Amino acid sequence: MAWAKAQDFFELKERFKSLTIEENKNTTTLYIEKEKLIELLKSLKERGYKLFIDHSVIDYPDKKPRFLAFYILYNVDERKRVIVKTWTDNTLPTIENLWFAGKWAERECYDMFGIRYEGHENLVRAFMWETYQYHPLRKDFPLEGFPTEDLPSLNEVLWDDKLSGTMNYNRMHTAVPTLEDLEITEKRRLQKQAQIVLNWGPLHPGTHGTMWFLFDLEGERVFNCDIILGQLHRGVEKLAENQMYNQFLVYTDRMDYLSALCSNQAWVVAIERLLGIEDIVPEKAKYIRTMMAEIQRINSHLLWLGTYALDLGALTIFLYAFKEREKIMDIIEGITGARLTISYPRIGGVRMDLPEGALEVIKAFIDRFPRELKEWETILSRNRIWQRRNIGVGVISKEDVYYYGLTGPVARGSGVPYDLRVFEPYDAYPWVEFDIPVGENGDAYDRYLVRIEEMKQSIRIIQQCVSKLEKMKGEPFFAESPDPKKIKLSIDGIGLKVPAGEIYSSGENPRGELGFYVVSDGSTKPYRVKIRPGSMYNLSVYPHLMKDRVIADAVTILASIDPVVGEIDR
Amino acid sequence: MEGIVANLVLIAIKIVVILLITLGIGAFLTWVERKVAAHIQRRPGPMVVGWHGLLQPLADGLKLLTKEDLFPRYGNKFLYYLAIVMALVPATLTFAVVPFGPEFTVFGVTVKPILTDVNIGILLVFALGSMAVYAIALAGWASNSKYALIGSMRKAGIVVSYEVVITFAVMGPIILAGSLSTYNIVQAQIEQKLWYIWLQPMAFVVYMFAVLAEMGRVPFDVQEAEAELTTGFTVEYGGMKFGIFPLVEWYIEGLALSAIGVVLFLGGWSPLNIPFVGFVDPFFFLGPLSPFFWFAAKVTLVFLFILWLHWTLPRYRIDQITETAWKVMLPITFINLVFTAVIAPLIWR
Amino acid sequence: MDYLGLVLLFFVVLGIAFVMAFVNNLLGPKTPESMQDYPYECGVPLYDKNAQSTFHQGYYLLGLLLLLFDIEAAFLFPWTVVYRYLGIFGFIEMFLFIFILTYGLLYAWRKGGLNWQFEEESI
Repeated sequence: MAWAKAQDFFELKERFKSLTIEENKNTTTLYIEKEKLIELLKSLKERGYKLFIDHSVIDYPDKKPRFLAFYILYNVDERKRVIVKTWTDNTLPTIENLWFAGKWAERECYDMFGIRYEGHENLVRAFMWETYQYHPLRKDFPLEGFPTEDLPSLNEVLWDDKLSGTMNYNRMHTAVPTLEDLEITEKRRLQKQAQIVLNWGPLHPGTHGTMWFLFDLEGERVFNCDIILGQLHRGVEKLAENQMYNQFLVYTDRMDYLSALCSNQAWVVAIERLLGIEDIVPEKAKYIRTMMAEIQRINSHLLWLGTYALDLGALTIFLYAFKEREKIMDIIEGITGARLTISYPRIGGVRMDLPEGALEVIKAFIDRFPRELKEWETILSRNRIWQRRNIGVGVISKEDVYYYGLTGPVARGSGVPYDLRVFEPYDAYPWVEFDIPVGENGDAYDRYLVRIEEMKQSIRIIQQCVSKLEKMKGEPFFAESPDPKKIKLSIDGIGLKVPAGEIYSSGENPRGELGFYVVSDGSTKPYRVKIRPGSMYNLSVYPHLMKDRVIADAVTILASIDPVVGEIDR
Repeated sequence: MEGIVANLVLIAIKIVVILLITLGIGAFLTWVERKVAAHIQRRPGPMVVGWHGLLQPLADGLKLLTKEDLFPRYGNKFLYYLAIVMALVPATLTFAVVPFGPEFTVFGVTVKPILTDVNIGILLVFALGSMAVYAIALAGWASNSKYALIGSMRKAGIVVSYEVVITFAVMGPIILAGSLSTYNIVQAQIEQKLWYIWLQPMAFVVYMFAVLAEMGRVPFDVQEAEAELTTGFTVEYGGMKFGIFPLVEWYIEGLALSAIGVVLFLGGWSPLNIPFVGFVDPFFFLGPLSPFFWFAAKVTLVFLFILWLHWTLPRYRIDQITETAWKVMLPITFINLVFTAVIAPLIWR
Repeated sequence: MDYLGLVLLFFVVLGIAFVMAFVNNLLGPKTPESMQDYPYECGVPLYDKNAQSTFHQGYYLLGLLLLLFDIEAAFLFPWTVVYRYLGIFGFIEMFLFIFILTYGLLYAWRKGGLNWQFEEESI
């Protein structure tokens, strides 16, 4: 497992007297007091833990101090991960000078828990509007919120307002932002310095979802830019605390809805690791999950390619890509019964065996697909217009990758070969052969090439999985619990108790690292789930890239980062 | 007196024909475009309204006509409506100088199938062509929307660049023909037994680029750029007020500029050309209708070529567009101009 | 007499344009709502109410060059028509003219006048 060892930090003990090191089964944790936190993080960054993974807090209402803040860092060269933790009541020092991504994580933390960050440049709410009073992820905030507003439209019908039975919803609803609230939010986000401020999104064809951009424009040049998130915020982390482990699976579908299978897989693997049953999951289930995840990766990259081309004006590629996507959706539907929100993997295996003929269909698809891909490449890759729009646009340096906590194809496009399928292999990835494409310049064109190449590598993985699975007919696809009294493994997952403990486990999603930091108190529901959204930290580099670029590059850069709002907002 | 009346009747007939072409065929071209796009994208396109969706333009028009009339808050009402007029009028007037075929006699009356064969026809085309930018600039300014404003500013940037390029590009054919009248240019090509594209390939390419730019077609459709500016300058227009803009920009202006391109470079209504030898007409059996057929066929081909590009290429960025115009296209037209001046005496002989 | 057709066409099209501009007012439904005329900016409150403000544009030098070159083009048009009758004199003279024009273009190019002007010192 890719965790640092306790002896790595013995030298640090001399500098930090109060440092305690805790090495668990699944994690390695450094405890430090709040005052020394920045110093410790800085020295860790100098020691190679320079990739920012995640930061948030855990709420313990009964304890004093109340909040346990954690910072997850990664050492790319030595492939080691470490968690730094500190207790606090309501303030923390800001880490925005060490990692920009921390600025966004802190905004989220302020929004959800009400933690104040000292020295933060512009501490605004990440998802909720500015005039919202509560902090929803605190344990004392009820799951259903505080219904304060009367919304007649909730149970309105055309000619009769009196619905009966369960159709008669309660009209009371939690607070809804008004136009004035949004205006305050908007004004607090960005101080106008140049000529006009252009709202871009949420209802905009170029934003790939409901993101709200503010561009401070000097002519067409972007002088300053900020992003208001939260239009799709559903409080998935709050829901996770109130759902059983297998029930939460369906919410992972709805996070990155374009790569539901990959998200499912990441969650399932995280819980299996927490349970310690990773080794008893049948080989067949692992191969099926890997194969399906790669099919989903192609599916997701196809949507990216289509919309990317659409944004740059090449309308036809969009439909070509969607045609192939349709085939993939049909394959997925045939195997799992669903097209978008799939929930096919289960803790301990997969829901059901592959149906008859599934492998033949997949084989036919992967025979045909590379030819189609080649055709699109002839239209785009060597096209001079395409190159002029992409080469040299949105250049991300290697240092920026660490500073902004970038992962996935965006990091690889800049030459950082950070791929969790290799760095921290899960499921069948250690047994299959594939390459990690990396870019050289880190511009939009490199990210484009990386993703195209990733599709080809996915085809390779699928091929290997198919040839393995062909020999595995009739083998079990779900794990037998070694000790049914202790761990109740079943396909519906009801009553599955997870021993107390914590884990950070992540999977390589098409859009970057999707991590789950799960804290369990030994019951059927997790105590706290922090989801590390790859898209959100990838997006945090966007204002930096847009500085001094023109509006026309906004779509290029955004599409080349390829965020999905469902995952950013959660 | 009788002559004047006959003249007026003739003019009235011609005006009706032009209106049929601009508004009728122009609307019908929306269907053509959708079908072409659909087949490029391997899908059937409109199929429901009428045979293969043939009545789709009618349905669209009906829908546009019955939309609510909205006017954006804080906008400028006078300029807002003036933009619509400024869009439609110059584009349609361009057809006044498009020659559809050779002179013919019917019922003892000699008819020239061109509304006004003025001796500065080509100049008139470009004068009217540059008026189109006012419509877009006004629309962008009057709607009080930032997308519209940016879109119209971009269009102005394009016109600033391609206006020069297109005027220098057409000088080659004019030297060879020695006339600015569209009718005479075609006549000259027939007399010299030469389509000017054979001598002016570079000018033709540059002209086509400029047409794409003026029409706002891919790769130069930055003023619309759905992904960046939603639809640019038409954001605040709805119903038929919106319908006018694509109709004018994409279809009427497109048809007019394609027709002028055919007149200048592809020999107008003349049949297939073998340079310096003569013309071959595989459609001789159409008799007197053959020239009209050839003209329509050529315009259609040029227009379809534009559609093909539109549905294939990505789009440029605005600064790349203007730089291409000034740094690549303009020097090419200069070279072409000198080249034409050198070889022109050989052609006249 | 040649232009009669043009003038008539102008008035006819003008009429059509007016009809097009106001036809929705007659045929369309009227459902007044408080927000329906709010300027479209992707469904959120406007940051600036007014879009008709100063807007830096990158081609003002190109605009000036357009004026110059269009005037040159206006000079060239008569020459193109009568070039046939001018003989070698016309050729040399115009060759010089185009040469100077090219030189001017190269000068503007060298000075960076053909580039899109992104920078402005004021901010």
